[in-house]
Amino acid sequence: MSDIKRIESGSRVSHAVIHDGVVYVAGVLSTGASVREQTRNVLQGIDATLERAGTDKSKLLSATVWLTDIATFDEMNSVWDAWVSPGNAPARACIEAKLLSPAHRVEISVIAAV
Amino acid sequence: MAGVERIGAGPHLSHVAIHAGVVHVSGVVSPGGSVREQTRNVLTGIDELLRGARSDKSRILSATVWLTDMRNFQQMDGVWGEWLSAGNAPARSCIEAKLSLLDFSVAIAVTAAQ
Repeated sequence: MSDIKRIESGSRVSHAVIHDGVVYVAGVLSTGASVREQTRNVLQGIDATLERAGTDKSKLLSATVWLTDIATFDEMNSVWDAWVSPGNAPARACIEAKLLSPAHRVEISVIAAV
Repeated sequence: MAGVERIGAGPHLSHVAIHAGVVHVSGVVSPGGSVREQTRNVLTGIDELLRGARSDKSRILSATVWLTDMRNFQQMDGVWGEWLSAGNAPARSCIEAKLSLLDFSVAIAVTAAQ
């Protein structure tokens, strides 16, 4: 049985949990004026967490994207596509959902190989 | 570190990402028709993706089902029940969510062991 390592572990959530060569990253939110800006910030946050976990976006396995308005799908995707490591896009699902507050318009969580 | 194998890698997502014997499948949708038909097509799509990943439905670990209208739960669940490998039901959750601007009524993502 392999150990569990937690990154930025708080009383309610860890930013990331690593087990058996796989890192599970908590849903990342950001403030920002537009879906484009928020997506950019969220993906930067994911980059930072992956780096702390000793991996990077080229090792992504799966991603879940939540949008408060599915009509902003293309806006999110334009930032996402520019960010993804070419040829290394993860399995992904994107759905509309209410998030933490109306100001939050996109949330993304990922699973990656370490 | 085990490598990551991808099937159907595109700019937004890969249909499948495989790492350390675990298969991550993207959210699968199928346009048009009733919830029953869409579910049947989605599950056929998942069968094909799992086959390509050298796995099958008897090896599914977890599944997330999104329905645009929770009143369609029974329709989806009926097809799901007929499709499942007996005795090998995965951990599953089912949530109502808007899926896209197209007429998708159901999306399903799974994780499976190889």
